[in-house]
Amino acid sequence: MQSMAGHRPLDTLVRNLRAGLTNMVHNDVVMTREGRPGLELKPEAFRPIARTNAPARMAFVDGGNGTVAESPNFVISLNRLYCGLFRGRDRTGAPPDPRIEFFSLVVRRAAHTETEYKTEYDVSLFPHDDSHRRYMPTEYDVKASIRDTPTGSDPRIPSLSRSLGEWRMARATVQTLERGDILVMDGSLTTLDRIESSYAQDLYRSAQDRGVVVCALAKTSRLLTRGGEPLLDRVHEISAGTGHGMWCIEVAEQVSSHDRGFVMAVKLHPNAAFPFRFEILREQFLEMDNAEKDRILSSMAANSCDVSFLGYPYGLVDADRYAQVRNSDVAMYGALLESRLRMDGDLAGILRSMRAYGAHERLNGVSS
Amino acid sequence: MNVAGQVVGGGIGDILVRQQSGSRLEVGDLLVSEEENSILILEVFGLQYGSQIDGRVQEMMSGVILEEEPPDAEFYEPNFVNYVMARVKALARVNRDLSVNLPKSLPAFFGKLRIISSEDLKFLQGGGRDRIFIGYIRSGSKVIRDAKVWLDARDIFTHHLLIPATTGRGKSNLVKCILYHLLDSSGVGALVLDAHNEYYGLNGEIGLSSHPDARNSLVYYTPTDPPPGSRHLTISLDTIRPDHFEGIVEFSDAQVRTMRKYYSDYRGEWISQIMLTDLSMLGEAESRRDAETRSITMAVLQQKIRQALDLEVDRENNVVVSRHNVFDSVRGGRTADDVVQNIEEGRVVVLDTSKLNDEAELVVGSIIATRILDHYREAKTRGILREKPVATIVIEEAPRVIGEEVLQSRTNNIYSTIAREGRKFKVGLTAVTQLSSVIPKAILANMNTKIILGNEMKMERMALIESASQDLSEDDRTIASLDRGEAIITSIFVPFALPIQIPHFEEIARQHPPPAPGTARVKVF
Ligand SMILES: Nc1ncnc2c1ncn2[C@@H]1O[C@H](COP(=O)(O)OP(=O)(O)OP(=O)(O)O)[C@@H](O)[C@H]1O
Ligand SMILES: [Mg+2]
Repeated sequence: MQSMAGHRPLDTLVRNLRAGLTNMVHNDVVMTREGRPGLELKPEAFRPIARTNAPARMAFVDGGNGTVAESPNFVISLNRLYCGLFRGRDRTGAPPDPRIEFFSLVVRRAAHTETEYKTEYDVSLFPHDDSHRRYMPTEYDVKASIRDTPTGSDPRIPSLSRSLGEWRMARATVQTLERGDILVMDGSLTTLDRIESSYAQDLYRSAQDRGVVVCALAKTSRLLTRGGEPLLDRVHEISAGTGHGMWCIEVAEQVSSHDRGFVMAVKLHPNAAFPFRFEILREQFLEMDNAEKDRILSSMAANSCDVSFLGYPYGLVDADRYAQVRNSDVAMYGALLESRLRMDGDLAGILRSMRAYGAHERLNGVSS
Repeated sequence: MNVAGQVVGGGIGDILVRQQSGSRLEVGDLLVSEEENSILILEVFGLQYGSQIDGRVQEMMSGVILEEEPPDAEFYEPNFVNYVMARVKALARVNRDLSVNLPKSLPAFFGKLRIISSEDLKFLQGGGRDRIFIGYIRSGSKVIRDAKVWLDARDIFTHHLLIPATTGRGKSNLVKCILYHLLDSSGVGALVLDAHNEYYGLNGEIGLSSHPDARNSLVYYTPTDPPPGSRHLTISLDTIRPDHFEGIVEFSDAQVRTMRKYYSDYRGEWISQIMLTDLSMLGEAESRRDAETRSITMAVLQQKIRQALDLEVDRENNVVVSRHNVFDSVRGGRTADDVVQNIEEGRVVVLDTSKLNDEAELVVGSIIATRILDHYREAKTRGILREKPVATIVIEEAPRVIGEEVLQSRTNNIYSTIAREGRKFKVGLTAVTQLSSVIPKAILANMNTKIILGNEMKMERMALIESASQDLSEDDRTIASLDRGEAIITSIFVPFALPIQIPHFEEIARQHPPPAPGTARVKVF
């Protein structure tokens, strides 16, 4: 530990932070990147959420992934997709394949032309069951999505198959739902590239055809107000003057061109510690009357009374529980893979490069 | 199938089972895993909470409820998120052909377990003449009435039986039940030193005398006013030998020498002679000092024998009399011979020793037990031991004779001799005790059947667990929590430690005659 005397960088840092982040002048409109400006965040704009005795059926979709093995020229991930169905506090049956799992292998190889050196990616996906392919992205699309990313070594590569898979899982789920049901995605409706937005588009079209509402709820948000304050904090402050226990406030019709949702902030239980970002597919939202908005919000609130996380939908806790890829899963599959590689003489070299690549992890283990 | 839980981890001897929310498992519950050609019987030895939620979050949730008392807050899917994990060990594998093995493998991972039923315990079935009913199989505190445990009386009594428990847990009731069933068998004879006179059943009370065959197979001796059909307990003083006191009353070397001398000089009269010796007449021809020593030795000896046997000297008539009528120098009681004969004929002999002091009781037992062992030894030399029934000596508070301290400070007594080598001669000990820890390990380990009742003393449980015929290392808490009449049988004659419920004696006596052999009279190992 550094001595207490002398220069203390953290103290200086805190002083700077205070200068930069306090005494800001409120400007209570969300900062948007493009499109129309946000709505003014004022007490009168808060809409109370009422309790309901007849919550709608809701489907919660989430995915998870973990890296089982990697080296400079390949990465193997384990991907999980999950969908759970609830009505209020109760689970209502399960979709045909509530949870699917597949491996993805992305290999980077050299592909020279006469004029340049470059790398190409090969993508292969391996489900436990071939019938699960309908919940998965195609290998071609994953590959195209990689090509779309700015640099070849994008950290998104290991999770691309999973992200695209979530849209597919959601679409497959919608096809089993009925008019008036609600689909809730974990996170936001933001897409990162051309391929992903076309996957999202497929979902939206299906949902609109069947009359299923598409929403997303995010635990965290980086959105700021024009005054530079974190949106959710500021909204929470303003809400204090409204007297509503559960509320919703419309924030912006569009916060970015990559996001098709109408963005709101919601507090789904009077004892919730904080509000969350909530969005509804814009085309659907703009056609809703107040009764329909209330129906959706009340249904969300009716699923958010679990003591483990008051104000957060239990359906998402549940989805996370099943979709998450844990370290123990990764370790188990990693070991299985290694034993298979070892049995194959030709692949012994791969094992070596995996080990070398994993050396920094070992170093972390040693030096921490 | 009525699922009680599902295997989710652990290993041999400590398998983890998630409890099905409705099933409310108890410690001691017996579960069954159905496998391809066998069933695996498992026992719950521990219960703990399990949760999908991290401990810190649980504490936070509790905080929210306690401190904020939020409206409309609930536990969603409580049975799914929070549950009970049972720790379970495999007891036995029962094969299709009803043979039983020690389990050496695990039940299937994620295999479902159900609560045991009487159907699973069919392997207990079988008939036989010399079997005695001990109790019903018990799963936790649930008694499975159709699954009865009968043990081979010859086996268990030859290899010594230990009945340990703290007071009030049902030792006497168990002994009474066992003796009652022994009345049906001629394969085992028993000498019962009944210090509380609680077994026979006097004044219309239910007891061993209520057995329909009591007239034939039960013999009862009491010092005073024997009820009809029973006999006077009188031991003729002339049947007592110096060695009958061995290990029971402590004598100095000089005292022992004196006893031996009187015995060789006067034979059957030796005790009377000692008791009637006038101290002033001692040592006429010797030096004063020697005379003094001899008279002190004699005085102490008289005192010890008088106390041990509760004797009095009638100076007027110059005879020795017994305060409780048991020891007799005049009438020449034949009890000792009779008792031995009855035992050799396979009867249960109950001696009411309630009026005798500790030492007198043990001396009486010693006289008879010595005689039995002598007879059986001789029978063995003559090659006719096979014809004799097994003989067992039932003794309460066994540490009086086989306790570590007694055995170290005194010479061997007949009871410890039987505990050590009686087996070779078909003579065994049935030792009832509250304290097992003071019995030497070598003897404890040789008591090959133990019917362990409840015991809240850690030291006692450890002594029992260490000397058990099965691995009871995980059963410490179970033994501590056994209720009245609940027991665990550990024995070299059972395939696994059997949790049982011992019936109340009155229930047994009332339902007599027991079901005929071969039908519902089950149990063979
Ligand atoms: N299996 C049983 N079922 C029902 N009651 C029982 C059972 N065993 C014992 N009891 C009752 O419990 C009480 C104590 O039993 P018992 O006298 O047999 O205990 P114990 O261990 O011999 O006690 P102690 O140490 O005082 O001799 C009695 O009232 C008896 O009737
Ligand atoms: Mg008793």
